[in-house]
Amino acid sequence: MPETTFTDFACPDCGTSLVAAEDAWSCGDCGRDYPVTDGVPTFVTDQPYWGEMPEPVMREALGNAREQGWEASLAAALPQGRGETFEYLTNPVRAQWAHFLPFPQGGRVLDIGSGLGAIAVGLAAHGFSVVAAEPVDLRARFLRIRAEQENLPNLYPICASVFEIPYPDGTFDGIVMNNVLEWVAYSKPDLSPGEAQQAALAYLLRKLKPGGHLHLVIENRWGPVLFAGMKDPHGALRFTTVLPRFAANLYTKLRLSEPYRTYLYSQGGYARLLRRAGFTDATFYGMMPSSRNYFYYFPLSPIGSLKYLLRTSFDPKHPGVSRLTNTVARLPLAARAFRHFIPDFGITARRPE
Amino acid sequence: MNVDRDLIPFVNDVLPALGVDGPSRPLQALLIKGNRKSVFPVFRRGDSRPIVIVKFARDPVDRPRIENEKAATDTLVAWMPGLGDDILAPGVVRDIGNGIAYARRASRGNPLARRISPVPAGTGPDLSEKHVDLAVGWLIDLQVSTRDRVEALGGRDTALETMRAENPAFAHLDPDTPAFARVAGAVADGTLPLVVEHGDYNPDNLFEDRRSLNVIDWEWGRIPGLPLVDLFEFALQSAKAAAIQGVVRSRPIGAEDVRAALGDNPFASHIRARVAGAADALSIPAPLASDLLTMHLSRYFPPDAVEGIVTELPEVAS
Repeated sequence: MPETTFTDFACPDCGTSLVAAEDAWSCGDCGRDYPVTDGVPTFVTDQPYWGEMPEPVMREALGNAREQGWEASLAAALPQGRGETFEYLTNPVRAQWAHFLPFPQGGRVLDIGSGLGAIAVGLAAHGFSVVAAEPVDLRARFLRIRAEQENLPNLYPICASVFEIPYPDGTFDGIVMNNVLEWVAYSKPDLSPGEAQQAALAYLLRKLKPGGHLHLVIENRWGPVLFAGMKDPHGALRFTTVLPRFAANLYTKLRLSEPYRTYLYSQGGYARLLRRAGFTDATFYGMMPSSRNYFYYFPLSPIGSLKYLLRTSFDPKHPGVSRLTNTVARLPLAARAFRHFIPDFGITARRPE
Repeated sequence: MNVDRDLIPFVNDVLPALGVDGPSRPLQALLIKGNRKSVFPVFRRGDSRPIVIVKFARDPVDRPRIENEKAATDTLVAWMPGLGDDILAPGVVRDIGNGIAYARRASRGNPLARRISPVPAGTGPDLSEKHVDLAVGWLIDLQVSTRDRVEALGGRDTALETMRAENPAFAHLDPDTPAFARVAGAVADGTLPLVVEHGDYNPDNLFEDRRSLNVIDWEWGRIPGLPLVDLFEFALQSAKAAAIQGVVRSRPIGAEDVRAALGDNPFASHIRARVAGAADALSIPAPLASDLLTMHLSRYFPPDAVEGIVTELPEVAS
């Protein structure tokens, strides 16, 4: 697939088509230049490093990736080698939910917050033409090397953030946000978290073709482990997701000296958020045990398969628990209640025609 | 491959061939994520039990495995038609989307792995004897009753080389190691019977339903294959399942699993008794049973480690 397929850039600032210059893309209207580093066009400025590993480790992996190969260099840089972090960061199997995506065959897809490419590579393997937008340039450059070494001409990494997508409106058949929406409020400190999330969704709606779909992967505010006191994976405090927002805000200010900005929602909450941003036809899927390492991915409606999951998915090695869940699964309202407490969601929603 | 565009129409199309009938309600699927393949239980809308299971693989490397599963199950169903109704669900293979799909009727019952209860470390798995007997008894009955048919197929000359070529787990197995050489000799001179080998006979692939057994996942099935190795695999995987309690499904077999499966504990004693019974039923000399175990362990351990582990164990077929 020629690279020109992916380079119909539009200036994120003013929307004008960009033209190729030496080692940069230039906007003839507002005069901005967007540099290209190691083949990766960069559309963000002053993005602080963020990642699952410290910046020096990422630099080391990137520095050796061309010579040693991306896998070997990353495994050598990570303290646990090819352990859990390596798998999480890189394994395209995580994108197996793509079998359910309503995107057209070979469609053009934007993966936001693509990191080292676990999801983007998975989407590319499904045959989509994937633009992988990652705001941290070290990670985007690493993914570029990975795409080259894995011979994935249909994967094109760029360095861009959720509010600075360098493509004209109506470009994409599909957009994927895998565990990203909860973080976007940090990009818009002047807005409340809810407003920032709605603004991000509304912005991405414009980037979709009419009839195109957004796919979110995100935690359920009412996930059972969060109720049970597991720390919120975004704020490192317990119970913040299940507390009322004002109480969670007060709590995080007291404990962390910062406001609560990583909002999660219930099923109804996500449906409302998407509707307010202009999306229609939100369809919910459940993920268990978690979106980070799920085993089951299933539609939340109708409820027949939920009864199956109630019967089969909990602690299958323990006969007592198995008997209990079998009994519970037969209760008329059990599956209906169960779907509200699914740990994580996959959500697809459509831009109206 | 898209579920709505490819998978559901495929299943609708093959329902009659799979012998699945019933009301024609719309179908829905859920995904069980695998490391290499995706598995889709398919339901009639509103039902709480799947009617069909579809295994899908995109990687060309997995294609021969899926085709092998289809071939193995078809052979067995042709040999023993009754199996197709109760024990083996015949399937249909077809290219869909950008990969290959294998659809079969959903197995009834629960995986035998669910019958393994937690036990204190070091005491061995508390897999009840009736489940061991069910799994082992079924396999031996199958292998004994199909022995003549397997022999008639031929393939003695190439059986071991085929095994090494097809299964990466055996690729490093040195033909000059004494155990391998003795097994090879016994295969060549006919001392060792060749049988139907499942190839991945672990409790997650065995479903019990009212005392009958459904056996799935014949991807590594071999006809002709080696005797006893399925029993060793069943014992090892049962021990592992008991040890990890489903928490770390991908952990490799360790030496502690071998000791729990075949060492000095009540479960292992029962397994050894069943292995001895199988060796008797198939007329396998006891020393060859140990050689087969040594060969089988070489899937999981380097040769020098295998020797040490086997030395620790009681006689396997005693």
